[in-house]
Amino acid sequence: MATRLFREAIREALIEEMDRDETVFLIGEDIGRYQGTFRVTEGLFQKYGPNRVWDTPISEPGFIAIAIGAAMEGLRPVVEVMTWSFAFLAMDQIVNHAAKILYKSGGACPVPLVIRGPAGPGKQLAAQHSHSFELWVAHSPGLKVVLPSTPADAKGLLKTAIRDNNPVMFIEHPQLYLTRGEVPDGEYTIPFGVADIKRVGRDVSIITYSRGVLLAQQAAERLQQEGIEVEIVDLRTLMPCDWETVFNSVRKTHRAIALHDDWRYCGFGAEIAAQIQEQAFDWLDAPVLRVAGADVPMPYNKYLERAAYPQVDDVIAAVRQVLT
Amino acid sequence: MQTVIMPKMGDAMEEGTLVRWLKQEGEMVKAGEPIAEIATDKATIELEAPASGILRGIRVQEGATVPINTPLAYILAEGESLPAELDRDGKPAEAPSPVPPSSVGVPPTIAPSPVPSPPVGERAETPLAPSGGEGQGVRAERILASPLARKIAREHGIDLRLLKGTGPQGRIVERDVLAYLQQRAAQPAAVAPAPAPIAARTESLNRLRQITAQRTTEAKQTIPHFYLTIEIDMEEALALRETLNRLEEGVRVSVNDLVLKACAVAIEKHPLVNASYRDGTLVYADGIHIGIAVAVDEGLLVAVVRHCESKPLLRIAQEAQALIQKAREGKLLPDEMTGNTFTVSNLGMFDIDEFAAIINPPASAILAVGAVKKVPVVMDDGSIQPRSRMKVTLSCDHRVLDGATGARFLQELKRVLENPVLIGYR
Amino acid sequence: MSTRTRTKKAALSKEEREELLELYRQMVLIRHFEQHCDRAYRQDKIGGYLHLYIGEEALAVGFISQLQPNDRVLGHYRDHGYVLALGSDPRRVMAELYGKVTGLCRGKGGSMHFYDKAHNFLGGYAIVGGVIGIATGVAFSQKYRQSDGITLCFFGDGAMNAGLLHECLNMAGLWKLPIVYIVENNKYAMGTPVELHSAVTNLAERASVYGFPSCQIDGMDVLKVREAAREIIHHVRTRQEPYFVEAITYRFVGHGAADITDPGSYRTREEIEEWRKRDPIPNLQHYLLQNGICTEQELEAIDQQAQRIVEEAARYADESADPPLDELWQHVFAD
Repeated sequence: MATRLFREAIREALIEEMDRDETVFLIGEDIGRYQGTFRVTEGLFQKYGPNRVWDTPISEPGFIAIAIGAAMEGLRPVVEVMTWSFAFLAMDQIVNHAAKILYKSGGACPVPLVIRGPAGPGKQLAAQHSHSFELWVAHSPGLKVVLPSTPADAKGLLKTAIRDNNPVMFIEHPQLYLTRGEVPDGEYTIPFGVADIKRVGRDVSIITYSRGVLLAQQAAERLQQEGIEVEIVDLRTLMPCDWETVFNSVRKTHRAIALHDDWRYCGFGAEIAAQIQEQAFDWLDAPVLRVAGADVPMPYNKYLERAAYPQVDDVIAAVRQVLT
Repeated sequence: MQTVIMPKMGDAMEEGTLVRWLKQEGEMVKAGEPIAEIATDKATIELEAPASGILRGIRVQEGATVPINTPLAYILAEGESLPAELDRDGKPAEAPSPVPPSSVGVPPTIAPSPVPSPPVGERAETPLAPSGGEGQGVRAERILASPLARKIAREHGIDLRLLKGTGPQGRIVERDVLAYLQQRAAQPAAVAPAPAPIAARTESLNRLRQITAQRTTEAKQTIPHFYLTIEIDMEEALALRETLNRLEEGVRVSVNDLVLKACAVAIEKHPLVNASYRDGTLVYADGIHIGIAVAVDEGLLVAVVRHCESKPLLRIAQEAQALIQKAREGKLLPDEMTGNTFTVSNLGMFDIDEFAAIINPPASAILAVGAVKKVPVVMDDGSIQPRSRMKVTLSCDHRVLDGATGARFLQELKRVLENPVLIGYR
Repeated sequence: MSTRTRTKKAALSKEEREELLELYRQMVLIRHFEQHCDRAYRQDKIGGYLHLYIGEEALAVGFISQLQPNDRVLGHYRDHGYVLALGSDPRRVMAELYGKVTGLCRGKGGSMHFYDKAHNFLGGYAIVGGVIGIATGVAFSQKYRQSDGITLCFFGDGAMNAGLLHECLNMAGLWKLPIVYIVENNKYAMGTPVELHSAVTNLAERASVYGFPSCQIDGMDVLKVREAAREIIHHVRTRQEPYFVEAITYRFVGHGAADITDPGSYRTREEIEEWRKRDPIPNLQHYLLQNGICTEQELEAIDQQAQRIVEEAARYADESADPPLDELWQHVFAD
């Protein structure tokens, strides 16, 4: 097994799928000649040429709509948004077109589309570039939502996303691009809707995804020294979501914490808490807690920024609270 | 004949008001010519004649509000006449009150003042006032307990008021209930020495008796019981038992074990016997879990043999024996005492002919088994033979089972025990 | 664009004559179909928003008559005319409007969301301007695959002011996509006249800066539309570049069936009467008779036949079943 950076694993998935299937093409801003803001598409324009790697004008609604139309005709576009914060411009295309076309056509017209790119805080990009994006899309029926936490998951899930016949929102955390991890050799894919227990424990379940997994792992290491065993459930995909694994973990530990960078108010943690109380109420020995972003626009100052989204100490404090 | 209807003029329009007729009964109209004014919530517009002809059979008066698609009148071609059932001599057949719908039903003398309501906080937290004979002035204090603690307490019949919580704000959490359970398990031994038999005195019940008292009272008061008795010929079953005990090493199959397995076989044919009643719904269990009533020094326990449907006779016999042993030693685990979907109570060893038992919820039936006795039986050929016979009585929850259902189950049980090859044994 | 003028003595081949009658047949079918829709809406058999194509028939019929099997059509929410001109089964179209499971989209799309891939209609889109992005993507796929197909994209003058239009015209020009953008300028974006919503009222001119040709045509004369479409589609197919067409047209009915303030609020009855003189159906009728191409009896027969088709479509829709309740949860995701 080789180790890869997170962004290299994504690039490998793109290369393997572009080699496998000529209908797969990349489209986005500065992904070709410039090779991508986070260098995910490095070398791909040189390798595949302008008919497979399309540099676009700065027109998110336009090029995302074009990708949707191309997908309706059986191509498999992989759109890169320079950051998901720019996808707000194209919400009509994503929510009111891509997500609705199959249903309103009575099942006749699938839209095999992937939109991928970074979303999340931590780069001092301040208010307009730091959004977590999962909620805006997970709330809309018809969209699949993927948030990998490791290079191996990123590669396997992206390959699944490209082969899926639905619009898949593939959300990468910018703080993960330079993390390194083992990636299986050879061809593999990871199915959607299968959570991964990233760490087994008996005292408390942390339900999380994306950067939250790293944070939970750091907290778990420290808590272990006190004899507290944390179980980490990495959801990996929010739609579809593997609730059964969540419930089974809670039935074992009787305590749950939902963890994400995204805003706390109406965040995915609220959905996690609601699902647990609906389906595993009798197994709870304490209220489900949420560790999530502060409900403020992201500030620029780096100390304020750190205070605006979860850090390891916040997770540890929540574990202690839920174990009281 | 063309029908003039109240047309839908807008997406949210469900009804319209006929403001006035512009044409009268019997008047000639041309297609497209305005014949009436109708008002929607948005505007007043002219209603055009859908065809040329004579306006007849006006059914809706001016000022009336009617749902869309309601026939308003008819347009007849020359020479055509209105069908008798529609002809009202020009008098409107339907004359809804010409009151705007918004004020329908509001008595004009009462001003629509808001009904005083208690402040939200109070309404949410004030305990219900005691009503009728219940409560006796006792304020029901909200007990803080986690859902898991409540679940375990419920399963073990623990009154949460007896516990002290160690969680935040004194919340009773899992560890509190588990500690209480451990403590309780240790207690029966302490009360074991039999008190001296002094007449006319009060004795506090041990915990097991307390629970038995509470549960049987509740069961007998809340479950509508009825009873069915049947007599079963046990010759064949006893022969099977004898053979098994002779040939299979290390196994002792009791009559009760035969009854347990036969019940499971019969329940598979009559699954309703295995269902339970909960809040107006029928709950079907994931398997046939048969409770055995076990008498211990402190009182009565129910030990549960799970999934009798998939276990062979010999396995059931082994498990039942082990469970009864554990029950007598006070070592039954919580899981081994709960979740029965059917119960068997056997007083045969006490030479009891027959009796009726109290249902042990959540099961909805209990089988009371009497002693196997040699009795003279008139056989089919008229001869009289000594036969081993056993009487069983099924107590049924009438919310789940009817007489016929219970009877069919007993018939099947009888058939199985009288033809024990149907039981199988491995 | 110019129209070949036909003399009275023009000798037509059998095929040419049949083509002309087919234009007439389709326009009359759309007209009767739409008139029935209006009645069915009043009877609450059709729900939601209902936008009728009455008056604009020449556009769909003229353009679509020039298509080839690999071509695609996408439209906005006034989309009944396109599917009928493309040959969709009128019974399934009506069933869709009645919300029945036998409809084009199993009763889950409705008037604004037709889709019939078998007849090359890739959708009606209910968000103003939305179709432009999707259609540009369809043309993108034709270029990507080096297909010989082209895409027709129909939208209304209101969509001229959607930012998406200008983003897509730019990319279509940049990437030389085989697409014809057709703005149906019926003079009103709902109730707002073009003079009040577009700084430049010549819409062809407004779209002329993206590096490909644009033109204005008379959308009320099906023969002129057909001639223009023939040349434009040929240009797009052979030169592999987009084309922008402003078709001047007019709707004789309200914006939607629920538009009870029309006429009166934003346009006058007189204005409608004036435009009705240019009604494409009597105009073609007149042309066919004047030039001795067919008889009145033949036209009458076409009219009767169209009415029968619509009656049959209505009967079929009436008798079809509603979608079963479990259909609610189907088609959220594809397998």
